Amino acid sequence: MHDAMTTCFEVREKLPLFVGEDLEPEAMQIVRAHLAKCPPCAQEARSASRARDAFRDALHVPGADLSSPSLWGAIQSQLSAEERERAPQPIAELEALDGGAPSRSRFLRLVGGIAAVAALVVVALSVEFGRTELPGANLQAPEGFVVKKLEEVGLKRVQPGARTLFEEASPYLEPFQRPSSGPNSLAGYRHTGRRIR
Amino acid sequence: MPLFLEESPAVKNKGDSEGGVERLGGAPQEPSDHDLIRGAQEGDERAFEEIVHRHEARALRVAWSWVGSREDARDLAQEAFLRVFRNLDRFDFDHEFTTWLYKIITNLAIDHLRKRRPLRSTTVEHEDGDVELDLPDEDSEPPWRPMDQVETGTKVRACIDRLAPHFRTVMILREIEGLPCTEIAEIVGATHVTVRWRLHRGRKLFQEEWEKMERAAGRTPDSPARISEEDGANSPSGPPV
Repeated sequence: MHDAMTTCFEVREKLPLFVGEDLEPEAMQIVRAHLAKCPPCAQEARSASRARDAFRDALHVPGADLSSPSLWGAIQSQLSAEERERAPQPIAELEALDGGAPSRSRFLRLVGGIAAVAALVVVALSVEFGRTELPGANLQAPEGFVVKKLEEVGLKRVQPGARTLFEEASPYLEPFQRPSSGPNSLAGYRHTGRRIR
Repeated sequence: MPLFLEESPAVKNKGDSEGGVERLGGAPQEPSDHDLIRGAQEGDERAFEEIVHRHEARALRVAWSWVGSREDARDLAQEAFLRVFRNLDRFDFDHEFTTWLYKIITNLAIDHLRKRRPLRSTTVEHEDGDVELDLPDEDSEPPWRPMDQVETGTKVRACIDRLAPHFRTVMILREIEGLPCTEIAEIVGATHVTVRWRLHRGRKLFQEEWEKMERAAGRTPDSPARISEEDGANSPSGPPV
């Protein structure tokens, strides 16, 4: 079972390539010499060779059977069809198509027309709304609304003579040009210390 | 509208002793694949027709090896030539036309099988590092009938179908087309060493499957003799390359 240089294990590892003569010539020679002297390895080589033959037999097919008729006819037809699709169609041909099969093209035209009209309406409406001011721009608070809200958040009317919140805050409120009198005025109110929520 | 513009000298020369370049013996020289491709690139229909006629047998052979059906093989081969035509301008004249054709057919065939049967991926380790394998999904419906209902040829094909595509590619190109590993390496975009490893591993895997099938069919393949530990103790574990 032993060669001087080669073990059965080494030889068997080489068998898959040996059976197809895919080893280097020197390695082929070494394996061949081992098989001549080692019946178990020779038997293993025969198994590998039979498996390889089975593979080749299963996939072998006579070329003439497959290539008859030639593929060229089908390929040429396909290429010609692709070429026709790429080529621009003459106007007369398009008109003929339109007359011959009206339902689909007319339906598409109708849909396109409706879409165009809808787009025009949307544009017209946006232009019209663009002229008006934003909703709520001219709204005014009802009489006493602000005073009521101020009392709700903790601002309370003070006695006459006391320094009002407005007087204290007026230097800071000046930029807001809050009216000093009237129902929305802060005059006469002082913060009571309640936290505003 | 004509598909091609005009006839190139490449095809005019074929079979035309007056116009063709003659060898020393006087016979007209066959235009090379590269000549024909140049002709087709210039719009010569007959040049492309000649390419198809020259290579359809091999295209069909490889396609059939993958799909095992005449109709599918013809569809695949036809699609391969259509792709060749659509990409003629991208042909690299540093390579053989057949290398390109084999590559296209192999990719088409693998795509075809993926659509026919879902694949699951697993990872195995070999000397080049981790490699993604696409193995058939065992849970899905197999494309073949149960083993005991079909003839031997179909059973063997079922064993072949169990091989991952990258093993199968190398084995088909080597066993059926007889290509050298260097050319296969170019086609599959791998190194020569990797191709030899795949060939070695693919043959081994197929043998295991085939012997399993033979045993199931009641035909006992030669049972390999066991190697004693002593025999293998000092042996390298890697495949020969």
